[in-house]
Amino acid sequence: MFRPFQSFLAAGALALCLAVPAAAQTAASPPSQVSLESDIKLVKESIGQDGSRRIELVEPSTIIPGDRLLFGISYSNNGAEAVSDFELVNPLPKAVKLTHDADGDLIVSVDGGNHWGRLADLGITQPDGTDRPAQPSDVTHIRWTLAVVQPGESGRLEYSAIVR
Amino acid sequence: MTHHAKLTFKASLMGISAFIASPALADGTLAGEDITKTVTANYNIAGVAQAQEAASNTFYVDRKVNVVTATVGTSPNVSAGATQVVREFSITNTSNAPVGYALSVTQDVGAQYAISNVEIWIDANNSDDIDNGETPIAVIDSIAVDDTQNVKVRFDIPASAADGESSDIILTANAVETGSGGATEIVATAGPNTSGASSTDIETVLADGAGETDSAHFFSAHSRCQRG
Repeated sequence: MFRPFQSFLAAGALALCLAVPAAAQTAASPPSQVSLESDIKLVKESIGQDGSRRIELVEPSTIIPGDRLLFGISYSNNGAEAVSDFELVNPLPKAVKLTHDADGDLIVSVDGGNHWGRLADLGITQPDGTDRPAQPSDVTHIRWTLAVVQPGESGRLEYSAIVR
Repeated sequence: MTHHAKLTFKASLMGISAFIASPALADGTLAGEDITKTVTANYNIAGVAQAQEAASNTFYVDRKVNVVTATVGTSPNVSAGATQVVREFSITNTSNAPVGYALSVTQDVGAQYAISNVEIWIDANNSDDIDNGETPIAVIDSIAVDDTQNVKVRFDIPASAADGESSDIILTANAVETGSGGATEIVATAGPNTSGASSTDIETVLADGAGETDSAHFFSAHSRCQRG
């Protein structure tokens, strides 16, 4: 049985959202369209000659358990009208788990998208009937909701995951 | 020096339709499994729901090869001239795919006497003897993910060994392709991230080359017991 620590419904919650507003079109235009692009990058860490830690985002070629991936979603309102109640849902692939340093304000689900909330507000009922706090590895879905995306506006959402 | 590491492999449950107890996702991804990321967008224009948009990417998990070997039990002192002295080792496949292992026994560079008549075998009846159909082996054809296979090693101590002299017995498990009879050593590979439709599509990463015989093997791990 799902038992959130407190009831919480996210409306218009933003996480790692970079909005780039642009001037609206004045002439009549066809219905607005939203475009989406999804990408995955491998987070590659190395130590520079000066001993400093370097982080690169590279196209994944070899991926093995323990690798850190950066999942990105780019969106754009390509039409002439504003888009409202823009809701993006990203099921986590079963081969990865959310990292422990994920944004605490992300709206997530730990039960396949049936219930949503901040991870800190969610719990898991164990086989013996006791509850425990939900962990990043329990997350099944992430959801972002933007109240309005203006014509010409684009943005990007990201989160990190570890290959199980 | 020994070290232990063990991955716990849990079964994966897909399609959670109801809130269930305990984490439902697998721990430890097998080589060849896909990472398919999908995102859907729902939105309104002037209050009217629009057709859903979607985007996705797919990548594949490659093979990470690793092994942990360890001594089993104690290693009491032996007598000069003792024959068929037995020591036991464990070999755990901590890779994310089944792996075979070619086995070899050596002694440390500081060994004060040389052992002889070395044999390795799987002691199925735990008799400390090669009997009941058991035979010496040089290869374990395949150990499943997170499984452990124990082997025993027996050897003779030279009669010339002096009181107080010691030797370390080192078991090396070198990763080889399953089904190759030990003939095909597993090596690191690189290539585009493609599906595992064939074995060549999955790349290989050697997770840990640390071991006493690294220089002689692409990948190995070792354990030792003292005062053999």
